[in-house]
Amino acid sequence: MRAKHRFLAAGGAALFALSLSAHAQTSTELAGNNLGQFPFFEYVRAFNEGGRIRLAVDPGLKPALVGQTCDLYLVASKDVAGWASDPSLVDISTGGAETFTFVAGNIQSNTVILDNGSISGNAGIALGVPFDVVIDVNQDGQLDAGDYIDGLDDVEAGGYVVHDTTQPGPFATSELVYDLGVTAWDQQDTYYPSNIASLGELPLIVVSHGNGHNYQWYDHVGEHMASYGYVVMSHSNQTGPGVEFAATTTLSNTDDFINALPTIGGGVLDGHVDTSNIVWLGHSRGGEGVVIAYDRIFDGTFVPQNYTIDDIKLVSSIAPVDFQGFPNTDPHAVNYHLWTGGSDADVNGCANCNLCQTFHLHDRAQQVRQSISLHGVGHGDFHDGGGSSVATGPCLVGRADTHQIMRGYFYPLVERYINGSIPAKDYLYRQWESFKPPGAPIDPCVVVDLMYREGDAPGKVVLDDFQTNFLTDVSSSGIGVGFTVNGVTEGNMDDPNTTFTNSTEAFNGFTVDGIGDNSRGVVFEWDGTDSYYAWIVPGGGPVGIWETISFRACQASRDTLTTAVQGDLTFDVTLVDTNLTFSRINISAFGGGIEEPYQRTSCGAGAGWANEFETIRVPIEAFAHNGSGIDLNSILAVGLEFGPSHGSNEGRIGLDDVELLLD
Amino acid sequence: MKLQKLPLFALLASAAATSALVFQATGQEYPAPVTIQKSEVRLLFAQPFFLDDSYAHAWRSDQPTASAGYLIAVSADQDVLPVRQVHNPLLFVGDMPVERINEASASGVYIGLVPSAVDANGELTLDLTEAPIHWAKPDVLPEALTPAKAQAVLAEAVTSGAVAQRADLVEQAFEEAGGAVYLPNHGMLYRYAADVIERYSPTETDLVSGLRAPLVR
Repeated sequence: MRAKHRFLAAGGAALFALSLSAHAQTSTELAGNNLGQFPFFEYVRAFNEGGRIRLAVDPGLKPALVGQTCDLYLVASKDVAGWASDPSLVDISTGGAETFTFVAGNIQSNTVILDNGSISGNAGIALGVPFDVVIDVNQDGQLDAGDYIDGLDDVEAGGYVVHDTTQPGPFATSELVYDLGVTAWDQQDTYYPSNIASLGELPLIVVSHGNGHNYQWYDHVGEHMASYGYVVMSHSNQTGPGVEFAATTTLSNTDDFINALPTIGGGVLDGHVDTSNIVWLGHSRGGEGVVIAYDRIFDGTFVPQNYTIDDIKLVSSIAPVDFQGFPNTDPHAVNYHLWTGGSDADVNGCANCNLCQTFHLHDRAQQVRQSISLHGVGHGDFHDGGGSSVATGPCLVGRADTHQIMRGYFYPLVERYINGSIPAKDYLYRQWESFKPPGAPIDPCVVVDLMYREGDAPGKVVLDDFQTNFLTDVSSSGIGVGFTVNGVTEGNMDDPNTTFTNSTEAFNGFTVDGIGDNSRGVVFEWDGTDSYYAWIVPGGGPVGIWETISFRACQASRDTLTTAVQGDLTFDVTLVDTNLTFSRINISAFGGGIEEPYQRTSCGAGAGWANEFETIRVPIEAFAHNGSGIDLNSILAVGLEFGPSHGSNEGRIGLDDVELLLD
Repeated sequence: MKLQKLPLFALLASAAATSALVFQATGQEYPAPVTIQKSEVRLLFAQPFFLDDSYAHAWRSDQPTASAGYLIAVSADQDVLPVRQVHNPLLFVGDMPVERINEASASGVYIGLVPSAVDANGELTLDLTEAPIHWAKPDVLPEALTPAKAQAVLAEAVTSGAVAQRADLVEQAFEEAGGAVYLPNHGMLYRYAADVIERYSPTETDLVSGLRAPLVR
């Protein structure tokens, strides 16, 4: 749980609880995973079922615990009022509560396994069984004064045990294929829980296929999501004339479906579709179409009869084209998501084809945006229509594994935006190498990169998104920037020519910015020498009030320095306080690094496909682990350090969206 | 953790003094020009259709209203048939893009609709023995293809040697179809087209079953 801020957010209930106790408990992060290197522990939300749950205390940050023998509880989660009314501690882990004496030294010595994987993640159709973690200092079996708790909150528990999201949910599913008979483009294939009559109103997912595809080719999405209590309607899509007609078809089918609920399947769905919670999922031309559809409602050029723009909670595009560009293909402020296949032989992402660059749509999204990039996955792998994968490149993944990844990722994605699922967020940004559904394919060809950017989250500060203040020594936030890395260049992140061939172009290999767009970032490189890129706060600033430093970075495809590494790129995220104390966390601590470009050829000479961003999030408190001495409330510089002392010996990267978050 | 106190801060500060204003040109699109596909086309099936309700032909930007036309099947080369998300080769009858119904790459038989006006005698004015059936790859989507551009495509096709189908082949195609079909609307025409797909492109079973989905009302 994000202790500091969640506790404040709990509001009146929290104050009520505190008033019951003369000396309040300390609300803090406790549950997480150990790491093989500094900061040696990460506090997380989601724990895969069957995996270990650990508690860790940094003795330097909680000195009062040193020398104390305490009982450590993993308990069923309660809200604030629940803890106030029943402070008893009942451990749910195998073997019950642990007794542990905290010692001076480091966090590794104060890391305890609370559970070896015995806790079920079965939460029915929901994601995650919530739990709280308590350090019972006085060992009285009650949450009371002087104790420490992770999860004293009305919104967020201390952690969640999550089941394998690649596996179906609890409901058997049914499918209806029918023709509404209004136009030539209103055949639909709808999936729903077989017991829908006993359920209330269920969220609606609308699937809009791509050109030459078929509306019956999304069973893997429809059956999976219906088993978790969603109604999934996939419709025939008029993609042949183009993306504008595809958008029209998405709009009309959504309306017509809702309108026809009394008659579809004899009315089996009538009264069971929550039209205020709609997700649009589009593939290729349909992937652009769903964004255009949203834009039309936003612009008022289409007025739905049975839903409103606020009912569209998530728009997700699978390998979308970008024929129309900005401003027609504009996700505006909707929660936006993108799927990209690295081996796509159709919407291929090459520099010579602007309309084939999927990331344009992602970067246009103004608020929460996220993407999943899958090396070795072709255009046809995303549907289940059989035939060609429309794929080219090495290490092809194929349809079965792609669908397994889709199932495991799409369910948490949708849960995040339909039900506000808290553990779902972990699926959206934690490094795939360290956290993924247990049923996800293990094949070494399966490489997954995730991008995630918050919207206007409370307390979020953008240190640098390179959108303003184009001098290289000033960030977009006005904070000074210092660097010793080479070739620092800010600009629009769009390859300026038609190939990815290694060249002197600063933005070679970038495809996130398109015609009419303005997605800017910075590129730089280092070559065998320790160097840095840093944001400098004269006099120091209280970085410790934030929880996380987040940024996205990518390797520069086919660059000499990239090919020299030919692997994940690693470097340090560094804080420097006003006493010039340095604390460094290497990005590899959380699994992998910045992924090497997919080694696909063509699109010019050499190997390596488009520069593929992934998001790195580093917890700020972790910089203070193990007596680092860093003063998080007086930080002079937030930086990235590169070179032989900090990770990869050489490299060239793109960087963007450097943010401080309260999450 | 690597704890270190280094005399780097002065370096940080001095480095920050260096600045450069760099503008990066935005990307350019490199659209393919209108490409006349010299792929051979042979008309296999041509069935006049007449609808009670008119519809807008979506494959040209002016979206001409139609209530009649031809349901056609043509054989074509594999180099033009596979459907992609980016620009596809389009089949034209004269200056009118054909509304594509099937995927066709397995069978090699493309099935589509081409609208036609109707004369005072109730006959289709589009003459398949005069209008060339040809492939082209415009640099815009059909929905953005203007009549002027479609005319230009036709002119270039004719210059490149596109000609109408031989009269005997057209006659054979009509005979294959067995006469005109009269249907209520565009949607029912698609449903009817499933039979033609099944006949000429039988492996497209999902398309056929999808078009034959039971009517809700």
